[in-house]
Amino acid sequence: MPPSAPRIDHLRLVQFRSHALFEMETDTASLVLVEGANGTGKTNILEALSLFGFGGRGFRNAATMELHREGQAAPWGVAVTLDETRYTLMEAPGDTRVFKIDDSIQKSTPSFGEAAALLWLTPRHDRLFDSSAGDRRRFFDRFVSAFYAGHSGHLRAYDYRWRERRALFESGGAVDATWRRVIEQSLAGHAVAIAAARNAVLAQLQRWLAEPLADFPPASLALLGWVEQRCGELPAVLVEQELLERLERGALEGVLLPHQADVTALHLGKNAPAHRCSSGEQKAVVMAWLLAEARLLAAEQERAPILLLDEPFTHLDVTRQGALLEALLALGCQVWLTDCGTLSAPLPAATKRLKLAA
Amino acid sequence: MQQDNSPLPALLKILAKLPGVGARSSRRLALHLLKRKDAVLYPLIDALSTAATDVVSCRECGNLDTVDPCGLCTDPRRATQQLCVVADVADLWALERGGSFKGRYHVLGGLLSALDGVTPEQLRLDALVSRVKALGITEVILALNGTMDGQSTAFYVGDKLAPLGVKTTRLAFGIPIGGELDYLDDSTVSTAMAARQLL
Ligand SMILES: [Zn+2]
Repeated sequence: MPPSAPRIDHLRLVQFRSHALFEMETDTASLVLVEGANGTGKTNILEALSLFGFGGRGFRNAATMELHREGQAAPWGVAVTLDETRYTLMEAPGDTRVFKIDDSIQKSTPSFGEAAALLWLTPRHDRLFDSSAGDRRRFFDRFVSAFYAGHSGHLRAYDYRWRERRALFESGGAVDATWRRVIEQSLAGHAVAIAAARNAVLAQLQRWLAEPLADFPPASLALLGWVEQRCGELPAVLVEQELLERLERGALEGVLLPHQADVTALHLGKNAPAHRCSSGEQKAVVMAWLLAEARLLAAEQERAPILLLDEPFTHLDVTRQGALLEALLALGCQVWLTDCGTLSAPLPAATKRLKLAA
Repeated sequence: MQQDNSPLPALLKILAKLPGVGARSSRRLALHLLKRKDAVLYPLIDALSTAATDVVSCRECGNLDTVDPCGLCTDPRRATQQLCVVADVADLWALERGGSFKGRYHVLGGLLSALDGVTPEQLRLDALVSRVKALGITEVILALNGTMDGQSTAFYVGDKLAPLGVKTTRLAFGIPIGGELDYLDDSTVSTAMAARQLL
């Protein structure tokens, strides 16, 4: 049990997606299971919580307007009570959102801040290793930003400078040399900061991946990226210089920049790359990856995250379902789960269950 | 409902184009003006008309005033060898409200942005270099906001000024990136000015 395991004890949704009004207490249970047939709005409940995670747009990356209850113009709202602090996110005029902690309006991106990090898995992640490098990279960066608060800022700034640099070349005419250098210097600085953070988090994660909970497969991860690799070989300041020179010369052939990097996984039990494994094994590796992240956060930051797992039991036999529940209990964090009737393993006694009607 | 070319829809349309005013507030503003013609509407018409004819952009610093060069540029007490560079006139006014800066200003007329197509040629950069020389400036204070564009503009200006050997500082913002000078309260602006750092 980690020293601090944050618990959401109350959730209220108003005019949100399929819910006109939804309210529930969790009694600060560590497992919260939302059950119901497809179309009853289970995922919407987890999505509402995910709005307080990395990026502030939730796990469907939804625009403000999309979160309306179908066919309604009324503004939506989400209120979460986490360890006696109330976090509110509401739609406001002009396609904007208002984020409040207790009664004070915040200018920052919605999040539980220092109080709790959010990690999530959705059915989309079942195919993570068959998916694009971008999907895996974002999955990993979401975790790195739970670890380093500045990471998402570097990612945004890097992305901005990269688009600026492209716009500069596409604008036609002669490129202002000073302007280009200012942009490339900033780009190189953010690139090295991103790569160094990724490397540091990956190194710490490997230990937990090698010793999985329950009978999840041991795994290891590798970062494929030029800046990440150079940062493992040289001091950061030299990598920054080298990258800047390459940007200046336009010598970027074969150079995987931070926005092109990939994260690959090895199933250590099979000694095979995850994308070569069966779909069941792939799902187990992704789950083991998320569990390792949760354990690392709890151990290093003395603060357990909150996990959102959308339909984690599908395609798992009863033994694996039981192993997952056992591993989740061992974590000690609060875990929100959905299930559409595929769960046949017995639930731990302390589970808070909520059945949604069609 | 009235025809589109009647005066009321035209008024609502132009009001809605003002910053911070949407369709709903434009209706409220129009009603307010029309109900108080003598107290508000006619004085506003006079003030707008005077502003349109009398307010000009200062050829020296880019400030808005009724005289050119502006009152700040002709005030001898302002000849302090300090020059404060801002993006817009609104920022100049924010610093004046703070009241802690006693030197002269230079309005760039925007921030560099490759994505919005704002190029160095569109900013008053050559004028800045010649004013620094002509006024015998010893310190240039970059009072640009902490956004991505504010940061690159600060570095760009710093680079252009480097050959002149003039000390270049920037405001010390304890504000999150994206903070706009214009929206800060006056005492924060003064504190940032007092705690400025070398670029
Ligand atoms: Zn002037």
